[in-house]
Parts: sequence; C-alpha cells; structure tokens
Amino acid sequence: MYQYDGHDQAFVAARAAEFRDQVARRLAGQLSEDEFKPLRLKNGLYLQLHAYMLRVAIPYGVLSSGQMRTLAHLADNYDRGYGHFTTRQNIQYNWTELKDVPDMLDILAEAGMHAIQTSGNCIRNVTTDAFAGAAGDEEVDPRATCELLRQWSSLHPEFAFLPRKFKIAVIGAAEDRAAMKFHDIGLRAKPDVQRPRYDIWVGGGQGRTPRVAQLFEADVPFERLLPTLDAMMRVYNLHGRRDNKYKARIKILVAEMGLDAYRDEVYADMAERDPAAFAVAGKEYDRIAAFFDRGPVAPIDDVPVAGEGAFAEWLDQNVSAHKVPGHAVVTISLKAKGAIPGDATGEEMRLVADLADDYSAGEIRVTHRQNLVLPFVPQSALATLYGRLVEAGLATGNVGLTSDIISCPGLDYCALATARSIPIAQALSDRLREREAKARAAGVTVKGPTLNISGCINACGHHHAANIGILGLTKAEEESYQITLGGRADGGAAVGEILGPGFTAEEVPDAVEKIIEAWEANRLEGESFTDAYQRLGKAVFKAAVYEEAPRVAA
Amino acid sequence: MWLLETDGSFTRDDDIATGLEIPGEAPPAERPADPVVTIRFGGAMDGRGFSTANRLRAEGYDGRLIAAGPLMPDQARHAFQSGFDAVLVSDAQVQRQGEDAWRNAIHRSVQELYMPEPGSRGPERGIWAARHAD
Ligand code: SF4
Repeated sequence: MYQYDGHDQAFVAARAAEFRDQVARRLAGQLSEDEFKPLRLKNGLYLQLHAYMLRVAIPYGVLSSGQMRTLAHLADNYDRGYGHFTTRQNIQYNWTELKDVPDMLDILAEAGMHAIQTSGNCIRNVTTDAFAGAAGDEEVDPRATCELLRQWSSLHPEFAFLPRKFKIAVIGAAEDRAAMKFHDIGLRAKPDVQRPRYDIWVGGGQGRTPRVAQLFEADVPFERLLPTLDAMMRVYNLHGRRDNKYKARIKILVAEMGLDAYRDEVYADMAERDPAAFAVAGKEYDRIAAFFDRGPVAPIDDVPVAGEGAFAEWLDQNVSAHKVPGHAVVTISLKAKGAIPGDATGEEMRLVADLADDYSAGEIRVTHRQNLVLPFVPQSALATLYGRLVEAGLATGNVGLTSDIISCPGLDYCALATARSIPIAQALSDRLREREAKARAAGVTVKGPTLNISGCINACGHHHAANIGILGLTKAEEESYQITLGGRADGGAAVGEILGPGFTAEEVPDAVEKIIEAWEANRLEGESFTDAYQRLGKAVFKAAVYEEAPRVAA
Repeated sequence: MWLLETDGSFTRDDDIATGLEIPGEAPPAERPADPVVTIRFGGAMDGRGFSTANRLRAEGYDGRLIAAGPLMPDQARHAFQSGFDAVLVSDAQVQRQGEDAWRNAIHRSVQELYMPEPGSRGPERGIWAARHAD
C-alpha cells in the first residue's frame, strides 16, 4: 500500500496544527460558531444531537494494521469504545469532546492519517472498489489514481468553498463495486500504453434528487485527466446553484444546463490554460503506482478449501477469488444477527489488525457496504482464520445476502435525521438471518436483494441504490418508513421506485419479508431481484405487501 | 480599511487604491485593462471569487488583484493561492476576528500544497515539484 514520505507527514501535521489553532480561537471566543462551522466541517467535525462527531478519512478504504490499531486507540480513549464505519469508507467517532479533537488529530497524523475534507462543501474523500489490487476482474488498480486525486484535492485553495459537497469515485474493473455512477464525478480507469486512460462520468448522486451519472467523455488520456477535472470543478464552482442547498449539487447543474452546454463551458475553460502546469502529475502517478505494483504477495499453489455448516456458508459468502493464485479475498461481516451495521469495538478493531498481520500482509480494507476486508489471505490459512473469527464473534457468513444491510446512524445520533435507522436495521437483521439460516439448511442459494436504510432524504444509507431501499421520514410527528424497489449500485446503476404508502417501524420487517417472498414465488430460475422486478413490474410487489393478493404465475 | 499582503504585512490605511471593483460571482467577459482590480466576495462561503481570480490570471491579467468581502482570516491563503495579491479587510472585521488572527493568518495556515495552481501568489512551492525536481 501507499506509504507516507516526509512531505505527506509534514502536510498532515501542519493541517492538525492549523486546526488546533482554529479550535483554540473558537474556545477563546475569537471565532463565532457560524465562522467556526465551515472550518470544523472541512476537518470532519460535526455537532450532532448529543456530542461532536469526528469523521476520520480512510482514503479509498485502505488501512494498515498499525493504522487500525490507532483507530482502536481512539475508540477506547476518546469515544465509548467503538467507531462506526460509513458507506464512504470512513470511520466516525460519535462521542468526542471539542477540546480533545486536536489531540486525536495529532495521533492520527503520527499514523499517517487525517480528517481532511471528510465533510464540508469541498472535494471529499475519494472512494473506490474495496477489492482493488486483489479482484480477479481488475484491469487497472484504481488506488494509484485515488491517491493522486487525494493529494491534488487536499486543501485545494480554489475548490474549498463549492456550492455543495463533491464526491469522486474511481474503479478499474468490469464490475462496479463502488457505486461509481452515483458520484458527482465517477472515473473508470482502463489500461493504456503507459498510464491509464479514463471514462469520465458526471452528475450522479443520491439525496433528494437521485441521479445516475452521464458519460462526460470516454477514453481521456492520463495527461488530460487533471486538467479536465480542474476545469470541471471550476465550471461547477462558478455556475452551480447557491440559492438553494437542495439544488446545489453538480447533478442539478448538469441537468439544468444540459450535458452539452456544461461540456462546452469546461472545454472553453481548458482552452485558456496550458496543460503543462499539470505535467508533473505523470511522474507523481508513476511514483505512487510503484507502491501498488509491488503487490505484497507472490503466487503460490492453489489449495482447494471446502467445509461444512457455518464454515461452508462463510466460504461461499465471505470469500472471493483473488487475482494472485493461491490467495483469497476475505470479507469480515460487521452485520452479525441483530448488530448495528458498520459498528466495531476497539477490541474488534485490534483483533482485525492482528489477523491482518498474521494472514493478510498487514493490510485491511473498508467497504462501502460497511464491512472490513482482508485482501491477501493464503487459501491455506482460511480455516485457521475462520476459527479465530468465530472466537471473536466476527464470523457471520452473510456478505452479499440481504442481511448484509447498509444503514446510516439515523436519529440515534444524526442531527439531520427524520427517523431512526439503527433499530430498523437490527430488527430486519434478526428476521432476515433466520430466513437465511432456514434457506441454507434447505439447500437453497439465498443470494438475495440488497437492503439499505437511510434516516432521512440525504440518503447516506444509499437507500435509492438498493434493490430494497428504506427511507425513514416523519409524517404527522410519527416515524414513517418509505420503501423503494429496483435500485442498483452496480454497473447497471438505477434509482429505486417508491412502492406505496409508508410503514411504521414495527411493520417494516413484515413488509420486507413479503417483498422477498413475492420475489421468490415469482422469479424465474436464477433470476436476480432487479431482473425479476423489471420483468414483473411494481404491481406484483404492491399486491403482495398491501393486499395479500394471490401470487401470479411466473 | 486594512490590507493583508502576501508577505504577511497587515496595515491600516484610510486611502487604499482599490481600482476597478467587480463582483466575485462571475469572471468579466473582457479582461480588465485597469492596473488594480478588486473582486468582492458575496459571502465567506461563496467561493466563486477564488475561481474568478484564477480565471483572470489564466487569461493573462497581471495587474494587482485584491479580495474584498466578508472573508475569514483562515481564507487568506485560499485567496493568495488562487491568484490574489492582497485581502482587503474592514475595520469591523478586524475588530471582531482579531488583528492578531489576520496578522498571523498565513503563518498559522498550511503553507505547502501538493500542486500550486498556476497564477498562485501564495507561499507554496509544490510537493510534487520538490519530489521530482531533477
Ligand atoms: S441519511 Fe440523514 S439521518 Fe442518515 S446519516 Fe445521512 S443525514 Fe443523518
């Protein structure tokens, strides 16, 4: 993985010192809360319902075991013994005190980490495929591009007070495991002679107005990548709406201006500029890519691994093919039955760090589905690794099943929430794990629809992009949960459709179960949930949920 | 009025030449011929003035650019690094935010960036350039 040099180290240390000064000025009353707010947000510090929440960047989801121990240390000493991994591959501490935050940042800087631009109206943490560098179908390792973009966008002087937040994702494989088309800008890296070329997508996003990104330009050579992004950001900064925060994202600008007009503005801006200013980026890319090219593991003999019972389920669900022979990618589910999705205790983080040292070249990934990944596990170590996960209660074999739920923190923590999401996720997890266990015992493959939950329309829980999405709202002072169906976060990205009237918290598990039953009863052999939904239409599901109607023939 | 210069000097003067004043909202259609141009920011959160300055520099404007409006000391580096030569600060701002905060604005913010923007008047030299100097 990428290693900080003295420059990177000095950079994050300087940022931590700058923030310490800002906090001191706030505590001394020299900065009003209104002035301090944008400054603290740019460093990931939110004022939530009960306390300050610090969001720490895990750039493109990659962590060393040492960094994971640092996160565990922060959880134990500055939070209540746990942290929450988010859909943007970051971690949040929910119970911090303002006066402690500068110390936390110093500790992070020591470990080569930071909280730069994890919030605020600026370019956020760049995200990618959690299987980068390990996936069998990878064409270009996206991490080198992500690191280049991290450096370019960090503390960018011109793009720090944008109309709204700005999210970039990069992928380099046929399968999209990063919901790339739901980002403000999405990049698909492809192999080229020396450095990659890119398809640039623009205007995707979730929130109140979900949009799938459109193709801005295909096959952009590396030399034009940063000049193009620079101009794309500038046109957005100058023309994006600032009168209404719900219309301020680039997706609205592109929709209102039209993709062609937006593109013309971008090219006009580029025409005035000498791309030679960015020439040094090529050498920097090569320097960064060298860290990733030296893959940490060498090919060894393939070892067939088979098991029974829960171990077999875990092998089927949580273990994926690796591009290096003799190895496997292991996902550690943070979705045990009844658990809070994405939460991990300091003790669990330390255990995962130890496992990474023992079995995965000291490396860990965070996935956008809020799980952890050991990316370089020898197949011969799978059984031992599984045994240690069982002991720690981290061996749930449900990755890719419906109980692998994404959930935002919702009203239990979040100041913007309109409803709770964690208790809904927990109730669903209980119900779904039971169904999955029964199906497994009956010998049925249960790879079911994805299920995501958000506690408000901001959609941090990516409900629009789920096969079954749940959105918590407040209706007449009561929590009401709206269900959407047919959303997809993969290559065929689509926004889910609202099924019908909302449900109470108690009704949600029954409704979801009826939806899954309707799919199972009506699907063709091997048909996915979204394919079945497209073929059958909403009516079948609506009837199943609202009317208990007889099943239609497939 | 007070003026913060890129060298960190911060002085009060009743008679500051602000030249042609334009809003930060959009770059002018024609490159100004005036030797001094003041770009007024509509609000501290409105970053369009930074892009307007950067665009003027890209178009070859090499006169003096002054940033004005309700900026915070913490934004001074953003202004210089986007191509401004100075930040104009009202007496009321200095009163509220502290003369000290403005005087030290540059020293207390991050000095080095990975890649300076073309047209920058800031202190940064660029980490990428330093890494690949030969
Ligand atoms: S979706 Fe809403 S409730 Fe959930 S974390 Fe985001 S802002 Fe908070």
